[in-house]
Amino acid sequence: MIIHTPIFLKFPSQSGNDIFHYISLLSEFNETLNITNGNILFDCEDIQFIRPFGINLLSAMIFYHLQHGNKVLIKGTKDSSVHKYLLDQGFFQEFNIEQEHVTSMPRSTSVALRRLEGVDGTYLDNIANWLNFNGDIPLRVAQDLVSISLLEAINNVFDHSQSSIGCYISAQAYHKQNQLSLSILDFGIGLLNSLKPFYPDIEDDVEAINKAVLEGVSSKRKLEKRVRGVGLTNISGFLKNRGSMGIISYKGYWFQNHEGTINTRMLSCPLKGTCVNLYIDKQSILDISDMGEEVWGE
Amino acid sequence: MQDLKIKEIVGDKCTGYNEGKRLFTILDSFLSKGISVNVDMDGVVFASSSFFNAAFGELILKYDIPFLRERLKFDKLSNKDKFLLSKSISLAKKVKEESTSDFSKATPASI
Repeated sequence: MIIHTPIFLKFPSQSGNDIFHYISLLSEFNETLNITNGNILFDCEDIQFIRPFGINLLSAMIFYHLQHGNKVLIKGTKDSSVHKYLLDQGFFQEFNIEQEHVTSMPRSTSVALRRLEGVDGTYLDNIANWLNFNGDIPLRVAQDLVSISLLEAINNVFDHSQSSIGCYISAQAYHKQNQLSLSILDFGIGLLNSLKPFYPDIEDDVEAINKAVLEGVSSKRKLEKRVRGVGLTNISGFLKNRGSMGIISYKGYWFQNHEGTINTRMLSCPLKGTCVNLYIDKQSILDISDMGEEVWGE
Repeated sequence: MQDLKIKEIVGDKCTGYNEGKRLFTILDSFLSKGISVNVDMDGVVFASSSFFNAAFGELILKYDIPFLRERLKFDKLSNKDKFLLSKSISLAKKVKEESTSDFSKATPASI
């Protein structure tokens, strides 16, 4: 479908980590998925607040349309602090947008936005070093944290999602709340499409997420009869009493709180991909040394 | 006893299934001859569950646990490594049990 009149995709004023603020945007975006050689205008004018999930979503949507041969225009935010935040996060650099009059200054509280096309060891090093220097987390603990959380989520994207954009990752530290926030977003086939051929009893996106978090559930395990499928289980198990975790996959919304209680909902409009948002309590991961696991079990 | 320094075999980033498969092949070549192995994780910065699944989970499918307990030793395992390894072993035991019960259920014709 070729459309020359610009199509507006408006980002909400509160572009935080809450998916429910993005429902009308998702609906509008999903209608543009088949457009090629068109003009897409991302209206960011009203953004007053943006968080890792918001910057990932904006970047992934822009990248998707550039990938499909569309001309992308961005109407900048009126809020100078949001503009500066996007600049410092490397958002404009990611899309080669020149910003002549403002100087970018990488922030100690966040890691520059990054799109990955595969597991990247240098990026893992950078995140661990950032956690070490700016999150006041001992390097060994930071590396372990990256292994158990981020690496598992990234492997999940590249093992299962078939995402044409790879994945976007964004991270931020909130010193006052002693919290780290990591967001990993892909535009892949989603958990239901990945699991359904092997687990035909799964009926919807929420069930697919519930299933994916169970130990040993993996399309590759069923396909290859191999030992696969503990990545999301491990993140979920590790974060109990150490943080919280949200997964959005198409219409499925799944959230595990600090105590491990799970809430699920069906969204009225799908996010055509999967997003894993991790919220890690900085203090509680400092006891990562006390995991009390006996390797061989009983 | 054969010492295996993982950092020298795989590198300091054991991120995926393929790295684990490479290690599995080497471990299997020793264990199949009854040679004990000491796995040294010193210097490994990142390791994933996919790596542990491929390297050690797959060993569980091939060998009995008492044999592995006796022949496979670990050195410099971090607590995170212990966490991920124990989860892989637990899953592998489950996969093995399932495949054993599938096998015992199968009729001669379906085998």
